[in-house]
Amino acid sequence: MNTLSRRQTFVLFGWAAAAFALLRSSHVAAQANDIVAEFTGGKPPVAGRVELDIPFTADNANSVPLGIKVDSPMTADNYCSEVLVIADKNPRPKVCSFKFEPGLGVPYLTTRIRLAESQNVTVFVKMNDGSVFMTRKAVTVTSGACAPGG
Amino acid sequence: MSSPPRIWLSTKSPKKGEVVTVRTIVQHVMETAFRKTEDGKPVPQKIVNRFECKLNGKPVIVWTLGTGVSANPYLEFRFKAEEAGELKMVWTDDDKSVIEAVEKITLA
Repeated sequence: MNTLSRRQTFVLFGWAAAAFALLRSSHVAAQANDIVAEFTGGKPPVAGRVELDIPFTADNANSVPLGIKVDSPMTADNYCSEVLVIADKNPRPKVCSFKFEPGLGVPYLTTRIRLAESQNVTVFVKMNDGSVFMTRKAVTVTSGACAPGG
Repeated sequence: MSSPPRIWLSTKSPKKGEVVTVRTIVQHVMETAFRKTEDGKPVPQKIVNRFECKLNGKPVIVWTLGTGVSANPYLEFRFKAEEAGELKMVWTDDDKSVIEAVEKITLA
């Protein structure tokens, strides 16, 4: 970073974003589908049981607050085992994932993520019995994490 | 990697079974590898790819991070304080280096 001026960094970001836009569209969508298919194990996700707290409009796409709360008793025979966060228009759609175990685990968390552009953010939740739930929200970003600055 | 992780707990001496909130932030660039240097070479990826928290060796949460997580990864999570002991948090970098933090939990 020391060798790059602020302006140069922005310009490079711009070229990188343009290159991605050309390559990406179909490739990334397929990639997201693969990741989700692997996570769900073929079970159709049902809407609900997970609360997704993310702003409708994100001012800073490099740091979008994301809150997740799963409705689960977290007992040994009924708990939420995995959470997957997908931003399907990001160059790498898999943002992050979480694993929980019954006993000490509480499926509640907040973090901050990057969004390349305005898109849907989807959270998939897997229960110990293999059932999958999801919640999706559309987020508008005013400047993307990969877009040219200002 | 320059400064130790910052950690906040809602309480360090919870009642047994109480749900404790933990907020953590660790200083890290989370380089995505999508950027290039001035001479056109890609900046290699360098992210924290895994975070794990355990209480006395019992799993609380495992977080697998991708490049879509913001720089200086922040995480707020909760756990049930079923026992006193050491709450150990470990961040693992792509280059296998780790950042560790331990908080002592006593039961009220």
